[in-house]
Amino acid sequence: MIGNEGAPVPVGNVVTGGLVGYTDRPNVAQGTSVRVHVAADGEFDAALVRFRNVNPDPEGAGVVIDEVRDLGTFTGRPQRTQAGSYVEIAGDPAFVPTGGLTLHTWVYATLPDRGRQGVVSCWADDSSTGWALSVDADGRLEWAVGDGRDVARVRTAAPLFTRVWYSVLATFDPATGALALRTTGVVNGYNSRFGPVTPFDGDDHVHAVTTVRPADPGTSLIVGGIAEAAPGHDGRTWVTSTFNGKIEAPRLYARALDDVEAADALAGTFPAETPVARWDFAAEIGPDGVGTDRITDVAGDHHGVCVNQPFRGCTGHGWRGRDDNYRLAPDQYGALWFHDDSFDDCRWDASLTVDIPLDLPSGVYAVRLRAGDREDHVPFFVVPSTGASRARVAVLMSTYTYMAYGNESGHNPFPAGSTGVDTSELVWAGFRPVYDRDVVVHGHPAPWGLSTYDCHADGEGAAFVTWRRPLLTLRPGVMPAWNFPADMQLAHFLDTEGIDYDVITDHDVHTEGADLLGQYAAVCTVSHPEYTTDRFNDAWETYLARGGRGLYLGGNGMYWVSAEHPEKPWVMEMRRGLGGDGGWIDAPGESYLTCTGEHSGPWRFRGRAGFKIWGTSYCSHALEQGSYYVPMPDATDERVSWILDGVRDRDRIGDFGLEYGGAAGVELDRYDIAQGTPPHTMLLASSVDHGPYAIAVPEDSGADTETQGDRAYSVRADITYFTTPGGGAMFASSSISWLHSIATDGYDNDVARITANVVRRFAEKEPLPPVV
Amino acid sequence: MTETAPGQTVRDPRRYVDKEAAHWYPLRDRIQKEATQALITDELVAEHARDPLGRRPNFHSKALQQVLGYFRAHPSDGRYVACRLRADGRWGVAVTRPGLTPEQLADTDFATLDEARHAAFLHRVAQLRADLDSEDAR
Repeated sequence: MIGNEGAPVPVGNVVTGGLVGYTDRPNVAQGTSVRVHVAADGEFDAALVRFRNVNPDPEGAGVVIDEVRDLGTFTGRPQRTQAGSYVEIAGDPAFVPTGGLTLHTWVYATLPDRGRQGVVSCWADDSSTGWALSVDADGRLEWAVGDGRDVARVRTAAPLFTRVWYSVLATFDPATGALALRTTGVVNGYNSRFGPVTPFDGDDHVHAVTTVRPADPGTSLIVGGIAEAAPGHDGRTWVTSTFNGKIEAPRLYARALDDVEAADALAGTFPAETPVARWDFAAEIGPDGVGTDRITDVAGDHHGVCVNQPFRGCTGHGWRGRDDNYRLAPDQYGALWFHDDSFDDCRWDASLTVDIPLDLPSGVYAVRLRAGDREDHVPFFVVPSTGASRARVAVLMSTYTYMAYGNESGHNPFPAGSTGVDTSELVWAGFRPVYDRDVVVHGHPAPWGLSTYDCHADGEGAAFVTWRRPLLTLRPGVMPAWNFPADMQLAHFLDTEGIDYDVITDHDVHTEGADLLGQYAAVCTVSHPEYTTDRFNDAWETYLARGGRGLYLGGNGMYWVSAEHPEKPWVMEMRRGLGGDGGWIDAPGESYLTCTGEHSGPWRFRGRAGFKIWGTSYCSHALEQGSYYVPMPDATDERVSWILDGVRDRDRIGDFGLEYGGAAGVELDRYDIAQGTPPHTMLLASSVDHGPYAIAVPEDSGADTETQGDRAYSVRADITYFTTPGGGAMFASSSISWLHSIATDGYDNDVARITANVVRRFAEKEPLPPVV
Repeated sequence: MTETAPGQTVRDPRRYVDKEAAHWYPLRDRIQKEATQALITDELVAEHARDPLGRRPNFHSKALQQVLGYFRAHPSDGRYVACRLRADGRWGVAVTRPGLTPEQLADTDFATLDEARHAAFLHRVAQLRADLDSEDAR
């Protein structure tokens, strides 16, 4: 799939061929089936395989994949992906009234120079039929009507200012043929990029007289884009020229407002009559957020649906800044924020359905696709069926984290024409490599989508990610080998040790809670359980408090407040709040998750970081750096010394590793009583000798604090242990590199020994004696 | 209250540039370039060659940290990076351009990532010298 190096990065809908796929969900219970969606150039073979190990590092176990069964040969074809978010309202002749038309809305463009973008349209682009309010190629507002043969249009004189609210009124009067477009700026001290001290003048009034009369295009009405054509044989309305920015409260009247009415409407005072339609994007806001795709026409029954996840609960033209939560002032949060590079689901046709037998062991599986010299593995997680007998141990795979990092790369090409002066490489020593995967992703924005570390083209953080796309970061052999490849090393280690385990996922814990965890004597996290939901945290807290035993075998865990979309469990939302170690921060006033209504950002700012539940939480990113632990005084306490039984190098625990040379690396967590580490926690070992490129998280540092690892006190990983009521306990290794190091020397090393000590003891029925 | 005359209002974004990028950045970048260039010595280049990531126990010197800090924050336009784009798994150097996918430079072929990282570093060092010479010539 390589070969597009140096090619311009396309924007918009793309057709994907080759051979690549995704499943409809990450977690598949025994006794159910999973749909596989494949884009292919033609016929392909499929087989069910089980991943045992996927890290290609020759110093580890290497890639180990077991073939389970042949699935057959299937007919494939290229599949098209709709990119960009918009609202679709089913077409109705009432949208093209013969007696005239008025469209009013508020607009806040974030990339007006991105090229043509639809704002509100009832238009078939293939025939130039209907009407459309759009941003033209020069960034100016355009109002057009078309009869299928001729088009009449008017445009404002100047382009829109970026991130400034405008009130926009477009009219067409068939009696006179008058086509008019009026705008005025709507700037207060909070709502826009600049405030009232700027002598801004957004007023414009352009008009023309035409003989063209808009005809019914037979399409849906689109907010935030333009229909390519009336629905074809697939029944879908494909949308082009999707918008970047906010649109608020579009409304339609079946006549042209006169000059006085138009002036009033521009100022926000509308005629008393009921419009044809008025879409209130805040109408769905409730106490639990606005986690729905539904759009309500508050004037009638022309309700609509969001496609590709525009942001809801966004500040509108009337935001006054006092309330920063859409639930407190929904009338000020009537905007949807659209992006032309967002999507929530590739929506490819399903290519095959794979039945998962009840007796298929729980584990990590994939559908292997082959056609000629092409091959792809489409992964998913087989979890125990309800009522199945359980292993003593569960491995909790971080499906939320996998989605968050999906197709992530440190090399997003910034848009042509932007300054690019404020970009920085992630790794402090720089030179983060570009992989073939990155070129594939950059060459075609859809269907790969964004990770939560990316920003949309307009610079707004990518707050939503989806499972329903090919996740190239979940393939065997992916480099660098962190997250999924490292996590599979835990599974392979347990296989090697002969420790029976079930695989469960974040999605299962979110859905089934402590009742699921409670079916296991011990639950192991993997290397990077960073993104967690409130229900996920509840489950862990309850499980441990009831005597469960947990192993937190990673770093940067339980860090970001995240949410599963209530209507689309394959979609995860996270916002970064206004602090923490992330790639971006939220826009002003938009720090609340739309799926739940919760405040977003690091859990620590909500008073419930991983410190309280797992004992440690995130303190430093030490990307591509690794070090070792030294014992602390508690290591010799006879009540817990069993944890380090058999450790051969007690001076430098974990001074090795496949990629980073140390078990304390990549991202580190620490013991912090002030942040909630239980007071009776045993601090067994702490890592030292971190260099200048291990950086303290922002919330532990400030302008007057040392941040680099060779000086900052907080840069370290702590191995901790504490007991919980009812014979439970919690162990934390507190480092992403832990599971990179576990595979050293064929799993014959101190990290493996410590892990095995704890897993085996936690898996026993005998309660763990309190250490308090 | 005095009405603002039409010619005295802010109406057209095309009249305005981001002066942080257009005016301040070139000045700041010139200062940074000169300060960075002054730190680049044969010894510093050799230090980078020994370990491009400054891994334990080869933590980078303050001078190399400063040089890498400048390169790290260099605009994405024309950024040299290590790359692995070929099926044979060998490493190369690519250059990033705005709005384009990264492109591997001809005649860059390395067995290890660290070799490619150092080669990208040498490209950046050469680019820094060339940029300063070019600016001096102007």
